Amino acid sequence: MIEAYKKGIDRSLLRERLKKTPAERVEDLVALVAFADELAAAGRRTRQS
Amino acid sequence: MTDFAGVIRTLADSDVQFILVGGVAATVHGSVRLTRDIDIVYARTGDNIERLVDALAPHAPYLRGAPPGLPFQWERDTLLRGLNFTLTTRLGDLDLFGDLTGGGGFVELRSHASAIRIFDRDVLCLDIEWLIRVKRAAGRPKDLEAVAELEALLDEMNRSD
Repeated sequence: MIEAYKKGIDRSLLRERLKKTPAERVEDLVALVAFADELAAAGRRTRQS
Repeated sequence: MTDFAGVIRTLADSDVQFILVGGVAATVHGSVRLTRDIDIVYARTGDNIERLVDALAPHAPYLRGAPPGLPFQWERDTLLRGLNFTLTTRLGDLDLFGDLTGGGGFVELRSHASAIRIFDRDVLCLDIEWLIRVKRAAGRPKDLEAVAELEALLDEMNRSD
């Protein structure tokens, strides 16, 4: 099953991520979560209007 | 939204002994998967449990998913009686592990963790090989997906050495 999951992994994305420091990687996560939350909030506003 | 910096700084500034594991540890090693909670293994000494209780008390820790009004007391004895706690706090979701399946507790994992600097604090993070090991042991589909990515990351790291 793990080997099957590996086929869907974008290794170029991983290589880019590995060029960053651990601190930069965590900062990227924080930004990604904020972006995801903003998208979810926008979706909720759209459904309510 | 999880205040990742707030959680890490709160724990580090209170001298809580802990090791980052889970999704944030995977992020440290290069994972691009999104995670919203912070998972830590904490040392089960009385002093450390007291520091952990004091550090989180201002942030209203409560059992995640539990109905409001449950008689949950965030105190030293609660942590001593239990082991692993899935919490929600004002800073975000935080999972506390006294012991990890396939890995053990803080004492066993300490020698498989490295110091990293994030949010201007030095913290311990479980090494990628052991992160793979404990995620394999957890064995849920989402863990196995994470294992696939971590093994791919390990391949890439070894390739670039």
